[in-house]
Amino acid sequence: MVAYFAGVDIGSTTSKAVILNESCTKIVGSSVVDTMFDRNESGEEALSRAVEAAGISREEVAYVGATGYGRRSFLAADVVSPEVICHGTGTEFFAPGVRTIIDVGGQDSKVIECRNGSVERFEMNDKCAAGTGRFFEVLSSRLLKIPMEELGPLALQSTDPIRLSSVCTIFAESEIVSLLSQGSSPADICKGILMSTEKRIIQLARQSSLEFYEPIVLTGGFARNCAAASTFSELLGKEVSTIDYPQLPAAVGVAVIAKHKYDKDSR
Amino acid sequence: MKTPIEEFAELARTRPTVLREAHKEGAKVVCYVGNYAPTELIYAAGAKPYPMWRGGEPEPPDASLEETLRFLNPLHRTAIGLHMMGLDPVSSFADLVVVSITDCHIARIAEVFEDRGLPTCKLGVPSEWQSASDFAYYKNKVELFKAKLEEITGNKITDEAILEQIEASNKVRAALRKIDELRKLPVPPIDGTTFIKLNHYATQCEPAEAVESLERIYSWLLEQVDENATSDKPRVMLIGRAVGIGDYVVTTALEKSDAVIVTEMLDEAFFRFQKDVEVEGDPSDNLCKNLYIDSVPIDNFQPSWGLRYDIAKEKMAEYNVDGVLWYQLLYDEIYDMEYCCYAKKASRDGILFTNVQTSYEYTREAMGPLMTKLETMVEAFKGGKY
Amino acid sequence: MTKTAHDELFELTMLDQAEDAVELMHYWKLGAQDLGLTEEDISFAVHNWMPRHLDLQYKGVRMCVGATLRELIDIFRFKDRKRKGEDVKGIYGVLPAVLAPYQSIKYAGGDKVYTSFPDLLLMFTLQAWFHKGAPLMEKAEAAGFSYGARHCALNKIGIAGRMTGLIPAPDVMWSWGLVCDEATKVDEFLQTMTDDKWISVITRMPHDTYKGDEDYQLEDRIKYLGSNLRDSMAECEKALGIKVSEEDMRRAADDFGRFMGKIGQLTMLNAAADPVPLRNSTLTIPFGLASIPFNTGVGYMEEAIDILMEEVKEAAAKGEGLTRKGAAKVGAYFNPWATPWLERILIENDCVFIFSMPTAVSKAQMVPLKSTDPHEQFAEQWLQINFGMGCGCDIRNWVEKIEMLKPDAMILGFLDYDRWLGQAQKRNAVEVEEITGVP
Repeated sequence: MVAYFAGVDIGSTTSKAVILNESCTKIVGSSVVDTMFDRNESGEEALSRAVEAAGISREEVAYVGATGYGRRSFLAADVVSPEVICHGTGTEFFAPGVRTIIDVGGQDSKVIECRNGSVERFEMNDKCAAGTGRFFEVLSSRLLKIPMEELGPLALQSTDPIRLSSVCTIFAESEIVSLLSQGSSPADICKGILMSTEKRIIQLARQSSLEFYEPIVLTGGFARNCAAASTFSELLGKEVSTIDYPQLPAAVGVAVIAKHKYDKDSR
Repeated sequence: MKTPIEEFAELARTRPTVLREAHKEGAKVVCYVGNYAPTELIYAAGAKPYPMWRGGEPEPPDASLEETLRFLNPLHRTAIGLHMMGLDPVSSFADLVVVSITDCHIARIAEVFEDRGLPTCKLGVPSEWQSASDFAYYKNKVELFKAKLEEITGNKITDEAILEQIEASNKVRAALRKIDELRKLPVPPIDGTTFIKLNHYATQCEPAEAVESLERIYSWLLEQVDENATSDKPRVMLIGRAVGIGDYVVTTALEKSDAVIVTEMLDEAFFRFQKDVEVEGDPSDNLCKNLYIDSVPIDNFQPSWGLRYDIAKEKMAEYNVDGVLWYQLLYDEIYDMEYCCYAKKASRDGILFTNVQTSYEYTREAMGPLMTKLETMVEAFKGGKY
Repeated sequence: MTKTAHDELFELTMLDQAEDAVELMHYWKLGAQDLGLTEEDISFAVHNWMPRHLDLQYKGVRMCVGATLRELIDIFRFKDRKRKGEDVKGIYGVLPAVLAPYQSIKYAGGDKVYTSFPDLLLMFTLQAWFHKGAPLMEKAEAAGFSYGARHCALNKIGIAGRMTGLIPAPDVMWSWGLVCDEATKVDEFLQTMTDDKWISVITRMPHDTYKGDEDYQLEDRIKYLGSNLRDSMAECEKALGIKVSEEDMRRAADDFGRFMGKIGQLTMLNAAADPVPLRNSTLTIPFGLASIPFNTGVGYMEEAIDILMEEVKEAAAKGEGLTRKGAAKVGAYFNPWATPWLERILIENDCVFIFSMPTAVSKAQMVPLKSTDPHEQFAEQWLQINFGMGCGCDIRNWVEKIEMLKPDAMILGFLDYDRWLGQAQKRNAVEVEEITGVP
């Protein structure tokens, strides 16, 4: 019987699940759902949908791995692993040879230095929202009243990005309102916010002396913004690429980890 | 049956009650904030010391906001917050609160104590610890503290009494050192959180009681040592300003994530046991030398970061450390700067490290990222892959 | 020939009339390039930013700006001299410092010694006048210095200036921790983060006085700081290869006392006028002389202050000022020097800052010095400033200045993140309000 391996990443904003084939070389199904208060339920929902998308039954899933902040709440997990480790493994799956992963999620951001999928060093944001997807979302989408998916193309039209002097979400908001009233273009504001968000992430990593070795891959929901990777490239002076499913590396990573656990337990 | 560690914990827990009773019977009680007021002098005056070193709960720092800025670190805001909430078990009847003024955070806290009518002794600790005039300044402040103790107790503090207390506290140091040595074993019989707790308990009872408890604990730990045992748990060194009394969430979480803290470099809220106070010569002078010159210079001393890094490296080798956890109090700006320098040097030297910043808020939302960080750190120390 | 923005800046600040205008322009252009100031940026400052935030209708103000710009330019002259390997040694410091020792070092060393606080100069000029400080601060953040309000913006500018090579490494860095902890530690930070080598000299003092103490009256405090200054100066002399005479020290102490007197007088003249002629952002410029050891000498700024005082008197007599007569006057604990738009908001709302604590002279500063030893005199002079001491001392200082300058209200909270000054504002407000009745 063909066995499948599942990875579930229960994050603060969304929960993701993937189903990998027996050799863990191919994604056969995936899903992304909003995380609810009950994290176990969120994981179950994501997993059911991924199973459905793969066109398989739940019984065909040999082992399930869980990661993300809600990993310990997920009762069906055969193995749990912190998402930074899973990011290393999962991004290597998508982009073999990756040395630096910049992962920007809804409420956190991480910069991970890795080699052959093994995490060597990493840094995460503290409680401050600056430098997270939420910072960008609050300041751009909500203030400019433009849907999230349109922000990337808009930022790409910028010719003279604004410079935010404040990094606190609250103060930055008032600064942007003021810039809007002074006639700054939404494209310049959008790009300015994007740059401000990314500068914070770079600083976070620099404080821990992370070097941004190439190849650099941007992952997380933030990477779906088509201007995000190129803005990182501008700020770092290095090539930054994205992958096809930027929200899935952690889920893929923990599915691979689940397979290893399965192999070990089966011996 | 209780373990000797549990018995020691219970002894420490009863300290406030013991002090309250002693105070009713006329004994003077001296609370201390910071690490530079020699407790030997308090005992030599016939008074009882009590450390105001609590941390780890969000309510006291919040309560302190009536009088302080949120930009002061949560450890010192806890000291004042607990007092303001009426939850500090001793400060309300303390005859003196001595505050070691090592930086702006603690200096402003001392002012709040003073303003709230607590009898406060400000013990200035200059930062240029290698300068003779700064040592003289510190020593003079210790002399003034001594005079204050004599005033409140009505007892003359003699050199003989100080020497007696030095010998007693050196026994505590020796007992802690013996247990600390066990942490060098491949599988230490004691984890870091428990060791830090023992250190805290030792400040919350009489020296003789501490020695007796620690000796029993040492024997008990020895029984559990398996010299042939091995472990793949990463061995971690903890560096930071302080793990306050009660602030064990992060260290516990780290050790539950399959790592063990085998050594630490903490500047405050920690009884310094590495080096005995000398017994030959002027006892007051020896106390000052032990705290000010012979101890690891704290982060705000100047110069200190280079030396601190070297000391940490030596300890890493001595305790066979795999990686470092930098434990940072929120808004403690000098430690934040030192971390940046530490990171640069550690990266250069191939030392694995990460930092965790705390505001003492350990809600479900805060614990998610914290656990991810700690578990990843452990995994990374193990090799970074499943 | 059409005028460039550089020419317009020199005209505005009257540096075009200086005897060394050509040399100044040469170094200015070098500096502007290093600072990343384009012609467009300079033109924006000359035509837009500076007129909007400074009282440039007064010749004295334009001269004050010119004297400060001259100091900024001198950084790049020093940098060029260092690059050429000339026989000159630089000594820097950080705010707040006891200033007279630097001045005495300058008197002793002449052209072979360069004295400056480049970080503060950059903040005064690049940020306040060209509105271009943020990109520099971001460079400090990109190098790993934490972002946001956790760290001092002044230190961030200094760190970025040094790490990017904008500011040359000094031979001696005399750092001061008389108020905050961070400034002196910046030196240790830079030693780790850069490859440059210099001699570090440190002067710090614990905040361990009690409510009721007057720092300048505490003999042991004067003696401690005096002895620290003596040791520190000896280290500086050795590193710089100079010998500072008692005469140099007395001259510097006299200078400092005189400037502070003039700045205090100017503040009082301005505050007493109705309407008020000068913004606090303007008053801050002459205060530069009390905050930075001017390598180019004190003459330019002092001349400008003298002229400005006459102009303020004249404006007051004519009833000319920033607002209507009778507009509210407010004081600040510390009006940030590099954010002039905050003050502009007040003015636009018919309200004006008349002082911030450091620019107003305390009564203690009028008390003749008791000390006879020159180092102790420096110490005593510093302690008399009465700013940034313990809360008790600060409260009296506030009350004294409020009673002297009679503001209608005080605005507190700037520098909230400063562990020392921020806390004082929070804690003292209630007590000062109770004593003075000023909200």
